[in-house]
Amino acid sequence: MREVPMETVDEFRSRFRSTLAPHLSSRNDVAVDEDAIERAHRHRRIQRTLFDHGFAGVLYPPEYGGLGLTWDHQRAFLDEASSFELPRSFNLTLGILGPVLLDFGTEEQRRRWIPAMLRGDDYWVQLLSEPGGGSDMAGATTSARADGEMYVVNGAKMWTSNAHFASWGMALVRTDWDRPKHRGLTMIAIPMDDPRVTVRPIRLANGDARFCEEFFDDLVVPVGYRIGPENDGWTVASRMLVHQRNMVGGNSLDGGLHETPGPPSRHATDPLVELAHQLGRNGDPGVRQLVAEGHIASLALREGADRVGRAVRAGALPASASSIPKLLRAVVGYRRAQIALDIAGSAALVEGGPHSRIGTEWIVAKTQSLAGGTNEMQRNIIAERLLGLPREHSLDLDVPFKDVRRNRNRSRPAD
Amino acid sequence: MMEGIGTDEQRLLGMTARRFLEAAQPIERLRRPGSSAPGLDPLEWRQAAELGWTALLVSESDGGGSVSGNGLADLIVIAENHGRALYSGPLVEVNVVAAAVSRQGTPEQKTAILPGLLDGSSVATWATCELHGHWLPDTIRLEARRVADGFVVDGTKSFVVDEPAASCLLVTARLEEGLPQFLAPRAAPDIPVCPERSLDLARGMATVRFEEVHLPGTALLEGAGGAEAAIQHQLSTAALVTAAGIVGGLDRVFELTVEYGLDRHAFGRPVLSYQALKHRMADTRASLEAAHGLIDGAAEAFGRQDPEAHILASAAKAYVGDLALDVVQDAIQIHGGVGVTWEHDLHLYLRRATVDRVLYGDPREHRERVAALIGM
Repeated sequence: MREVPMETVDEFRSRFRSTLAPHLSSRNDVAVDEDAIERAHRHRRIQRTLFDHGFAGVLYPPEYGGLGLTWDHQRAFLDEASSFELPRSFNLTLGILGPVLLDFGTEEQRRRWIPAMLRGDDYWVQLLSEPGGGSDMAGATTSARADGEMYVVNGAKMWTSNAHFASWGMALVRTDWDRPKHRGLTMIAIPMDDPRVTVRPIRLANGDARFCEEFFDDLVVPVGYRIGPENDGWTVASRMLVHQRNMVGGNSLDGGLHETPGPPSRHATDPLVELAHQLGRNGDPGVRQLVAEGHIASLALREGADRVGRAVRAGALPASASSIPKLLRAVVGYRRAQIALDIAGSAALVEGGPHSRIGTEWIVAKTQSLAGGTNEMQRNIIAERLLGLPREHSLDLDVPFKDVRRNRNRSRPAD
Repeated sequence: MMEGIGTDEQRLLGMTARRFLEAAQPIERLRRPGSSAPGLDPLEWRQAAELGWTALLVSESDGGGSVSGNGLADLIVIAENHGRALYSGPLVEVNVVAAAVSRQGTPEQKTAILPGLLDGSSVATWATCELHGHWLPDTIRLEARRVADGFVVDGTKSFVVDEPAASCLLVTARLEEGLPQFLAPRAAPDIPVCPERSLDLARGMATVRFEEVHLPGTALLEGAGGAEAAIQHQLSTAALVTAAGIVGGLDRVFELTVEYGLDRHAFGRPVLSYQALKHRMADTRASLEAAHGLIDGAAEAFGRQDPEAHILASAAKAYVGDLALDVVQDAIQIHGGVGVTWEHDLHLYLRRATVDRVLYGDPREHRERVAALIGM
C-alpha cells in the first residue's frame, strides 16, 4: 500500500538526531515540584514539536496523523529520547484514549479527535470510577438519559487523573437501569470545558492534586459522541482497562510516555544508587544489598513487561495478561519506595531537605497499587482469565441493576 | 516456549529437547529402589551431544555452532527443559568449560579437549567455589606459584558439580599477577576428589583438594582480555543457565499445582476457587514471567554485547534464587500433606531448587555483584 518503503530504524534514528533533537531540552532541567498545569502546558508544546518534526504517534496509523511504524522504531525513539524531556502528561491521552478510539470510534470520530491528540491540542481523560465504587466499575450510577439526538448526563466521577487540564473525557454511564449491570452501560465523550461539568481536584495525603472528581449537572451531549453501541459500554470500558494496563507495562501506543520505577533508560544510573552516594552509604553492605534488590526489581519489571507485551502481540497470551505488568509495576514501585525510605533514614523524615520527597512519596506509595485497577483486581484477572481458576460467586449478575443492593447512603438518581 | 518469544528454530530445539528428556525418564530413574546419584549414561550423553547441546557456545571454527545465532539463548531453551524434567546431565559445566577453551585455549588445548566435549565422549566440570559457597572471583584463594616447568597449586575447591565421567577440571586460582585458570585431569593420584551426596539426589558434589600439585605450563588457560574478565564471563554464563534450569522446574511445579488445585475439592469447591489461594497463584505467575523475562533479556544482551549483560545475568540468578524456594514451598502448602511425602515429585524439585539457588552464586552474592556493576 505504501508508495515509499518504510523508513528503517537507522534512518529513523538519524532523522531524530538531526531534525528533532536540537528542539528538545534536557530531562534534568525540570523542577520536581513544578505545578501540574504549567507542566501540562509545556507538554502541549513539546508534543506539538514532536508532531511538527514527524515524531508524534510512532505506532498510530498515518491516516489519523501517526507514523505507522513498528515497535522497533518505538524502542529506538525511547532510546534516542532518553536524555530529553518527553511530554509525559500525554500518556493517558495517547496510551489509553487514542487506542480506544482506534478500536471503537467511528471514522468521523477518529478523524476529528485523534489528530488533535497527536498535535498536542487535546488532553483526554478516562471517567470511570465513582465516589460510590472503585473496583466494581460496572456498578456505575452516573446516568445518561436519551432525549432525541441528545444525552442528558447526571452524576459524579472520581479518581480521574489530569481532569483539571483535560479538554475531553470518556465516561462510562448508565443508559438502562432495567438491564443487568454490565449490559446497561454506554461510553460517551464528554467536553470537559462545558459549564455543566465541575472539576474539583482531590488533595492527596502528600498534598499533591493529580486526581480529580467531576460532577455533571444536566450536561447535554449529542448522541454522536457515543463511543461504541448503546448499552455495550462495558465492552469499551474493559478494552480501555486493557490499554491502561498496557500503558503501565510499557506496551501501549503512548510512545513510552508513562514513567516506570527505576532508571529512566537502559544505561542510566539508578536513582537508588544516586541516593546511596549522596548519603555516603554506598559502602554499607546492607545498603548495597537493598539497592541491588531495588535495581533487580526494576529490571524484572522491564523485562517481564516486555516479554508479556511481545507474547500478547503474537497471540500467545490473551489480552488479560496485561494484568501481569500492571501488578509487577505496583509491587516493584512499592518495594522501591520502601527501599528508598530505608536508605534515606532520618533524611526522609524532615521537611525541606534534599530527600524529604522520599518521605512524602512514601505516604502515597500505595497509589500505584490502587489506581487503574487495584492489585487485588489484577490478581483476580490473572487467576480467572489467564489461569482459568473458578470465578468468585457474585450476587448482581443476572438481575436488573435497579434491584441490586448498593451502598446504603447511595440512591438512584431520579430519571 | 511461547509464540512471540524466541525463534522458530529455538522452539524446535526446545521440543526436541523435551522429547529426548521425556524418554530419558530422569524422575523415574531417581525413584528406583536404592538408587543414589544415578550417574550419567554415557550413551545417552553422546545422543544429547548429537542434538548439539554441548556445541552451542563453541565457535564454528572449533566445530561448534548455535541454532539461532545466539548460542546462549539456545542453551537457555535446553536448560529450561532440563530443569522441568529434573535431568542431571552436566549441561552447565560442560558448556562453560567448552566455551572457555574455545575462547581462550591454545590450539593444543582445543585439540585435546574440545572434540570429546562436542561429541559427548568426555565430560568436564568447573572447580571454582571455595569456603563453602563463595563464588565471586575475589574470593578465590587457591594459590598458584610459578616453578621452572609450570605451576604448583595448593588449596581446596568445594561444591564442584561432580561427574565421575569427567576427565577434566577447569580450576580457578590466584597467582601474584591475577586469577589464572588451569585445565587439570580429574583422575590424578595427587588430586583427591571426595564425592559428597548432595541434597539434590540426582547430582553428586565433590570437594577437590590440591596439595602442592604440580601442573605443566601447558595446563594454563590464558584469559583473553584478562583472566578475571574470563572468569566473570564464565560465572555469568553458569549463573544464567542455572537460573534457566530452576525456572524450567518452577514452570512444572506451577502446572502440577494448578492441575491438583482444580481437581482437589474442599467444602464442595475446588481448593483453587478460594481467593486466598488464587491470589498467591496469580503472584507466582507474574513473578515467573518476570523471571523468564530476565533470563531471556540477559541472553539477548550477551548476544549483542550489551554492557548490561552481566548485570542482567546476576539479576536473573538473584531473582530466581529468591523466588524458587517460595514457589516450591507454596506449591507444597497448596498440595497439603501429600506435598511432603517421599512419593510426590515436589520434594525432588525443592531439592534441585535449593541446591541450584546456591550453585554459581546465591542471591546475596549476585546482589553484591549487581551493586558493584551499577556503580555502588
